[in-house]
Amino acid sequence: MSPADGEPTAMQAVDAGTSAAQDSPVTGARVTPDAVPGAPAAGTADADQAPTTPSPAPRRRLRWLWATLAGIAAAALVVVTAYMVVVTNGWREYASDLEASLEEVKALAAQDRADRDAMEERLAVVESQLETANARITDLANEEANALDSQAALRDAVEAMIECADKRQEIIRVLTNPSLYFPQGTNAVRAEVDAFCQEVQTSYYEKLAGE
Amino acid sequence: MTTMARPVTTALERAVASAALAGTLALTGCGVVPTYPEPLITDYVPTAVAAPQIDRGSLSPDGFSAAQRMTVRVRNIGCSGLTTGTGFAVDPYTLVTNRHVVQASRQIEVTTYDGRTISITTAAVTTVADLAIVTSEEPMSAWSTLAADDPVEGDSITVVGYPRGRQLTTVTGMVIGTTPDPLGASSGPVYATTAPVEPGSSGSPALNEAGEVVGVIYAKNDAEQSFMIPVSTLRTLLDEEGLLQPQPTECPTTPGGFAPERIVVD
Repeated sequence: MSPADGEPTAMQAVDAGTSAAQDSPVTGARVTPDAVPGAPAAGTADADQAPTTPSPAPRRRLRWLWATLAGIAAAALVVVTAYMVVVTNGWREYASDLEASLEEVKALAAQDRADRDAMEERLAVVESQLETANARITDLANEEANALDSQAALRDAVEAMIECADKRQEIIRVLTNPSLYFPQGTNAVRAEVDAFCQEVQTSYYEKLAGE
Repeated sequence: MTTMARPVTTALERAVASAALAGTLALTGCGVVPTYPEPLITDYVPTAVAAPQIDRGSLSPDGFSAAQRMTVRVRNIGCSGLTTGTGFAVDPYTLVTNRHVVQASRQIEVTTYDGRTISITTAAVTTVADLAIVTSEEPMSAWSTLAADDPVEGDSITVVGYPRGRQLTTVTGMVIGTTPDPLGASSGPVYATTAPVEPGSSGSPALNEAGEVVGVIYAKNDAEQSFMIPVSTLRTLLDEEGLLQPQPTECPTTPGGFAPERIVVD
């Protein structure tokens, strides 16, 4: 038995329908599984019309969206690639300049190191010369101090000898002038003066021997 | 009843959506791709300059240390002969030495490390220790810093002086400990050290590792130990001028201090 035009068979209804009952969006009446989705419900005015194919608008929107995205992605890829090439070249030049600067710095450091070594050698020489000069200053200062010591000792000895001579002269004056005398006695005075002069003379000779 | 189809998006809407998407991608991309390098700096000058650290307090322009420059040779032209000792400056015009270095003197002369003679104005001694203070007319080129505390056993010391009146000499030693004054000249304890000294070193400064004066050398014994008066005693003396008394510079009358007399005839 062949179905009349437009009328769904029970077989078609089973294959095309849903397994569960659904509310019709138009009428609100529950649609039985036997009904074809999108098909007009039985009993409606469109029930007698032939079923329509889905609207082409949603598929056009999706194609447009993907095409737009693809176009944007391609453009972005081109831009990014060009940018990366420029940046890479820039960094390559930067690295090259950096290497050149590094070589320059290495040369300067080597020169500075050589200059520093030369300065250290010079400093060592100067320090040695300074040490020698200081030792010489110390020796000269010592010689001068000892010379002044000797000078002072000789001056003392000379003054003592002069005093000895003066005292002996005084004794002679008393001995040759009857009006003069020593309260302590001439012999006692003479003994003291002799002892004093002897001490001066001994000290002087000892000093000469020590030099 | 007719089916209401969805309206097709307009070109304007497509353009706006594309621009928004492109802008979002651009902003996202800028965050992940590397930036172009900055120009290489070729004339960098560091802000911190490595200046050489020169300790100008230890050496003079002539290469002698401060300790050498502050130490003087003392010549005592005495009543019975000439003796030498050592002293050191505690300020530009004040020198410290031992009492026995300047006693019984007719004239005191002081010379520096480079042979200059310093004129002396006054000399004063004390009875509390073997110490004397001498005042100079001309300022010294260097003077000492007194340590805040006395040394302790085991401390290293450096002694600068003129042993036997010869060249300026620097020797080192170690503090042994305190002991009563073996000569009985100091009222307080003195310190024994291992620093080798000779006659002529009396009055030498004993310096600690920081270059501060911790004592004044004044004696030695047969066991080659030297003795020094601690810096605390020196500080007391410098702070209390009443402990000082002027050192006389006149000698007793010489032998034969007599005069003949004339016979009086009545």
